[in-house]
Amino acid sequence: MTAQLELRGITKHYGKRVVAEDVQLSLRAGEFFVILGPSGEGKSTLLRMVAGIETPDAGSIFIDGREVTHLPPNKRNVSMVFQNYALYPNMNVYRNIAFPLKMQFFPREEIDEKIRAIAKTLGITDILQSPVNRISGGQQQRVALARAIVRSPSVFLLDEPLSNLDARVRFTARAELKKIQQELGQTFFYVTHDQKEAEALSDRTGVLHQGRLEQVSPFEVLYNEPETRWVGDFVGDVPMNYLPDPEGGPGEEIGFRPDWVELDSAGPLSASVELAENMGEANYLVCVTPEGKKIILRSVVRHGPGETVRFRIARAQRYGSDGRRKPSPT
Amino acid sequence: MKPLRPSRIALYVAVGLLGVIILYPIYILFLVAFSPAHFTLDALYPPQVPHAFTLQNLTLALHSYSLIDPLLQSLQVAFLVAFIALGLGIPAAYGLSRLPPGLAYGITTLLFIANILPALTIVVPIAAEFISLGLYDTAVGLALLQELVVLPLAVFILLGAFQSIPREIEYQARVDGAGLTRTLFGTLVPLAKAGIIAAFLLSWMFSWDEFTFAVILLPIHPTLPVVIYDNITRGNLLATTAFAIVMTIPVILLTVVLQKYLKGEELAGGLKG
Amino acid sequence: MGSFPPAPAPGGRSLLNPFRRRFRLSRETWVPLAFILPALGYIGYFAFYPSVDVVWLSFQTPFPAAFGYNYGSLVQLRLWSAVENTMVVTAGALAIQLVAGMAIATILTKEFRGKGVFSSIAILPIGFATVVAAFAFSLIFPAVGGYANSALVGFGLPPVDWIHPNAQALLTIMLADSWKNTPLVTIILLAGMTTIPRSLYQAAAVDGAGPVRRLFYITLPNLKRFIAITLIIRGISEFNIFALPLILVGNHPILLTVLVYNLYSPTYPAIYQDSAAASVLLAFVAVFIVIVIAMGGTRR
Repeated sequence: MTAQLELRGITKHYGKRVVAEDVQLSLRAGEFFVILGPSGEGKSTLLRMVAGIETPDAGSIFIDGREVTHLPPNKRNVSMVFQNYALYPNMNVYRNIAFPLKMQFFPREEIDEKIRAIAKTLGITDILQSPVNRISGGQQQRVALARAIVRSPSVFLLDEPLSNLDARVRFTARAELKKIQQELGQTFFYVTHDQKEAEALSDRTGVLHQGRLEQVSPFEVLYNEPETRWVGDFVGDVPMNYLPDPEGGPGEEIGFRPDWVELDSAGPLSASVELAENMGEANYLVCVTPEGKKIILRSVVRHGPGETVRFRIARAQRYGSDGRRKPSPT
Repeated sequence: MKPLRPSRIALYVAVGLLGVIILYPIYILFLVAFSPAHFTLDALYPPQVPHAFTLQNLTLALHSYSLIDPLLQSLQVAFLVAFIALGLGIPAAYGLSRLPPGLAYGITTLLFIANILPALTIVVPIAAEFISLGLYDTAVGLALLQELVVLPLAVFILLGAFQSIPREIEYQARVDGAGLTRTLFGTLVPLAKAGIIAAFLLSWMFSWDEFTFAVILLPIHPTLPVVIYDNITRGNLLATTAFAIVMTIPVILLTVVLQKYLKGEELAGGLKG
Repeated sequence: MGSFPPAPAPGGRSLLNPFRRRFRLSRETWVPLAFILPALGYIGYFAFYPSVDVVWLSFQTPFPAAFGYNYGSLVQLRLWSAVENTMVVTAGALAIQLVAGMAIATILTKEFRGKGVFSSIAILPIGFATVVAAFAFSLIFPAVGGYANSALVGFGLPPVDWIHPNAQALLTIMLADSWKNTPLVTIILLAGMTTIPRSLYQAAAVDGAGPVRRLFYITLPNLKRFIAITLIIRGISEFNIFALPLILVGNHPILLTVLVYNLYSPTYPAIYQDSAAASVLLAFVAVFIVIVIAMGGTRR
């Protein structure tokens, strides 16, 4: 499959702050790609460089095999949905969706046809003539999506499009978004800080930390085989646990998630419970090992503070002293 | 009725006193304009209250002095100034709103300094320059100079208007396929409408009032303020009252219009919801 | 963290790139800058060039003469008296406008019947051109007779010559100027007062501070920035006050601006005393700005 979007060595600094450092990335056609990372560490900037709103200090960007690094946004054939939707407040819903088509000089009848079709898909036919400040947040999000979809660009760029919605609407909007992407078969480049969205939506996820791509892989791989300790800590409900690697050199550790541990009264390791927190079907136990390391375990049985639990690590990853994963899992 | 507290009484006394002081010169202007001259200008100690009403002063003044030429000149200059203010000010304000803060601050300071340079300091050397450029005694020449005071003001107002538009709207238009000029004039300008109207009206009103540049630069085809000055120095006081009233009416009307657009929320947000 | 290779060489293709890199201008900077350039060019040509030119011209004479001859000759042309009068008018008018503006703004923060009407009246003078204001005041304060004297005589007091004695003439100018410009001061100060939280006043009142102490301990300190802005905006205008004195009192007592105007002559531009006088005016505005900024310590 050909690469729809390719980033080569993208680097961008704001003064001393690094927002992108040698980012290499290649998106396949039809892929739903999510950039996941903490707020303010360069996710949106990366997206904006693809859109042409900002220019990288170094590196190049290819869309459909054509270099676009220094092209203005209107010459890149991308569409974008912003976090605040950026609906044109002086236009109604219909004219908002029509805007990108007008810019491409589509005939009026064709514009109308396309808008009717997209409005039907997204269920916004009733509000086409409404001013955009009179419709709900969920509807605004659909309008922004409709405006992005209506002209079938090479790449869709979405900058946290769900984070301004309240929790219940967000859940259905997320499912809907995935469905639309699959129906369109288009390439989505999606930025979020919410790993639930990455898990639910992405074909592949790239984890961005301080402008560097720490790992690019399907979400399950991020969870099960974090390439760096940082990814292990960032992905998942709780950070990964680390204990000294009995077979490794100094500074080398094994990392394991609470659900990779089996509590077993005959287990080889022990820890004393400091705090127990009930999270629905399971309890998270904050424990201290005899060596004084803090770890988090998971248990279906209730344990009170002060109790000692014994356990065995069923699965783990090994990390070198540089914080990177070593190939062979123990 | 409840007796008023002393502090309330003091408040109403202050309000009344200040109101009378502010209104008094306006009252005198209209008194002189609409009373026969022997009750006003010809009296050594004219009475404070009107004794008779006449329109003769105005009709006489309008018949015997050319009002049309200076009026047209004033209108021409004022509209020129207002349009140049938008022509230079809209791109400049847009550019400023998109610059890094440090650079924008420096340029704003430059504009502010230009704004406070004394008009007479500028007009003395420029007048000589304008004679050689053929701009002396022309509406365009005067407009170009008045623009100096107006442009920084217009840029500040427009800057506020542009800054209140979220950056994403602009990015969206660019991504949606609009070029730079199309984005500015098709998307951002409509959103900054309130600020643009305010800048236009303020520029217009400033030019309408402006005296210092006008008196030096337009000696032969003067604007209304200079005509008023000329008539005062020649002692044509009745004609002056007529001109003064003609000059004042449009400004009062525009002030009413302007108030609507100068409200904070109008300037701060073309965007609601 | 693992080690990463150093950033690769920039991959820019644009012809402008070497230029941009040298001046560290990214596209995000130079595109907006290009929009500002026309306005900056205009300001540069019509404001900064003449200001430098006027200082340069002020040292030119048509015949070989001592350095600074133009300035020397200004002294004979009542320069010092013009400077003195300008400073008196500036200080006096600023004082009147600050006090009056403060009073009106304070009243407008209160609720009372007729507030709407009063606030309209309070900004009404903005709608009157300076020449119109000057004319109205010339009807009230002439040398002989007029409406002010008619009132004085009505109360059995002796009439006053408002134009010829220095003190009266300067006072007339200050009054007319304050009538026209107090509304602007009021608007700025009122905007400042609305930024002061009500709770500060309530707390002070509970602590036993009366209206006077509330003024000095809460209102004024919190208005410092706004008062500084007022002083700059109005102070500069006061130095440049021109139409009012010209119409109200003519050449005596003379102000700096009127002196420049008298010396200015379009038909005989070879003598640059007007430039010298204009340079003095420029210097005054510059010094005033420095003083206010140094005192207020405020950035706009």
